[in-house]
Amino acid sequence: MLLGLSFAGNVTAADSPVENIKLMQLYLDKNQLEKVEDLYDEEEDSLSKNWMALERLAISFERREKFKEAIEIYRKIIINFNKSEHERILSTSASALDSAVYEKTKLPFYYYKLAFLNTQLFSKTTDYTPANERSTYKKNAEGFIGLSRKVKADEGDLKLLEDLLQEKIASDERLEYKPGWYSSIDILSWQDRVILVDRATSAKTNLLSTAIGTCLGGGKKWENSKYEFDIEGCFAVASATISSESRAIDYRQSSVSVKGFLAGPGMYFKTFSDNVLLGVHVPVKYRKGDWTNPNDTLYRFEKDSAVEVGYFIQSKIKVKKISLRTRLGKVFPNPGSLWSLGAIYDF
Amino acid sequence: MLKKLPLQSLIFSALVVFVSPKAMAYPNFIGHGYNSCITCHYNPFGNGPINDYGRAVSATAIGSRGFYNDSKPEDLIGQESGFFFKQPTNKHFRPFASYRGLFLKRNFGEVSEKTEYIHMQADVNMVAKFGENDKFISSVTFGYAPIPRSLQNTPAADSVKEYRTREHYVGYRPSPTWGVYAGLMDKTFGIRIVEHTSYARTTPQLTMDDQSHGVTLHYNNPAIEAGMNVFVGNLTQDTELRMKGWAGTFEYTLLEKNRLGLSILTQGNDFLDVNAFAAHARSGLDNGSSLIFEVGRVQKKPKLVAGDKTEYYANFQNHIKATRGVYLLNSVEYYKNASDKSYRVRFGPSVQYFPMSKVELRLDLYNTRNFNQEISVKDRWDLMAQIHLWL
Repeated sequence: MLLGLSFAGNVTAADSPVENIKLMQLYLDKNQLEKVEDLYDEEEDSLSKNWMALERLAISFERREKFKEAIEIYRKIIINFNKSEHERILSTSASALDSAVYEKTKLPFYYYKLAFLNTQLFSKTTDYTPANERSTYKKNAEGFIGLSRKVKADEGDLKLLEDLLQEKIASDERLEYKPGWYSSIDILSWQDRVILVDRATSAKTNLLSTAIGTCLGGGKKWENSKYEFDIEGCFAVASATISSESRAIDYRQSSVSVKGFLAGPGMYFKTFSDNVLLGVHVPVKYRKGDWTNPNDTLYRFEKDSAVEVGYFIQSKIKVKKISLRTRLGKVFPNPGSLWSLGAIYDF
Repeated sequence: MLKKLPLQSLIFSALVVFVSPKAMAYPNFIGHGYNSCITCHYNPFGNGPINDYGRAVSATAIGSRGFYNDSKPEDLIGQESGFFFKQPTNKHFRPFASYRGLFLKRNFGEVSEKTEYIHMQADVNMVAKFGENDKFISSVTFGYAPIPRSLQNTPAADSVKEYRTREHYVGYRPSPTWGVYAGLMDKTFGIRIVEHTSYARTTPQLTMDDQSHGVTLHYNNPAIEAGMNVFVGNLTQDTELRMKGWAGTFEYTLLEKNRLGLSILTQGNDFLDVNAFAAHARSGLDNGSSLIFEVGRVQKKPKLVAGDKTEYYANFQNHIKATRGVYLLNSVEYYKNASDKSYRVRFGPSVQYFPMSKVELRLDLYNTRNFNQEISVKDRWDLMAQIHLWL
């Protein structure tokens, strides 16, 4: 059985190949494509020797989008019935080719069909299609477009195929991740929970620090037409006001220098537009504040510095190389939000 | 002035001025190519009833068609955008009705959390228009409007009626370029965004009940749009409370879908003088999304007591079209009273959904942070869910 086709056995074959070819054409006309293949399977011994039967089988495969099978049949027709003309066309330059070589054959039609079918296969390739397979379809499509042009096939049809190939090539390129570097400047604000511990009783008092500053940094990104992934870091210099959340201690300090570093991975969806991006970022934040201990002998800070993890929901609006970014999120276990408003420059 | 502002405030303002690009209810729709409010509204500076074209746009370009049968043609959806889902039967009268309700959760997550539902607006309106190109127009709106929170439980509340008119005017538009309007209208200043609690509207005192009787001159061509408004206060108010003065706004179109603008306002009554200046920008992006930005300075001089103050505000908002009918917004607002070192920044992510013609649903989350030089205070979180229906 050819190409692993199943045999339904629901067709009645005629006695002669000519009658069976007429029957195949009838099934094609009625769009009963499975019957074309069933009939071929049933009478393969006689029909495989007839180019008219093979041509109808190939058309049936093509209409059912079984492009690989259709290609195999057209190749078989060329090798079995037009081999010498095909070889002469291959070995002769376009300018020296005498049209008499192919005018009495259907080679221009078969070349166009092979170009069309390979273009279809290439256009339907996805990320999961092996690279060599994609490359083969593309190479074959381009090759048969060249051969079709050599045998003076309709230029409009060939141009259409070339456009389809180019469209797919461009679409694949858009999906390829391209790396890039960027720098960023943000106004950043967050709140820190600072804990003051009574050295004698170990009693803890919660202090709340509200900081705002600028964060300078940059990162590397990988983007295609659908997503952008990045990893970035920035160094923050901020000023904070800190005060006690409890009335037990009167602790207030303003303009306290707080330094920090934020780094982490992020991603954006380009679902809405190439220039309007929405996404998430996971910052790991290190900060150290110069808040003053009210009395070194009585108190100590539980931690001088802290490493915390959080999240940002972020949006980015791109205008050429400059983007405007807003981010709102939180760093655990701190109260309040972590937000930033800034600009990005793409190198 | 600059010396008094902290570094972060300067960087904040500089950043948004550098990167980003007026006055109406949905100025964000510049993203759809609608630069001027008069394209969709009877009032040349927006707000109030929308015209036939605006109704069709809201139904077929702004609203989702998720609740419509796939086979329903857009022009039929557009035809059903008229009053009570019908096409107008005459060319002179256009009735309109609008309701806005707000579910508000203040300070959520805190002991002081409070939940309430506010009927913000329930209006009926009639527009009458006559003459060639509707050059004579009148618009009268009447309905329910809650007593402003600032006046509740004060003697001033007695003078405010819950059923009143927020807008009524007559207009003459001899050409598409020029128009003159007289009556009770919003003052022409800044970007007339729908968020009336925005610092950009509360600071210059231009919120939902701050309309005034006056005359407005409107000029509009593709490159320039401008308005001048002279007003004598809301004549339903006691004489000493009426804010009298003038306001003007000017916008210049830059590269088709961007507008840069300047506004000025000077007004006063027996108790207070207010002078304000604002610069703004609106920019349409490539897929129906937009950016708006406004920065302003407001000087307030009480007449009976000491306490002059200068306030600054900035409002940045991106409006991202997710899909037809769905918009994601993020507002970043800044407010500072120059007399003290503290200032506030409010972050407000929102989702705006127009499920079908005549329906808008909106969810806003506001995170307000006070940058106080004395004490550090916890953030305030407010949640708002709004419904807006119109006929």
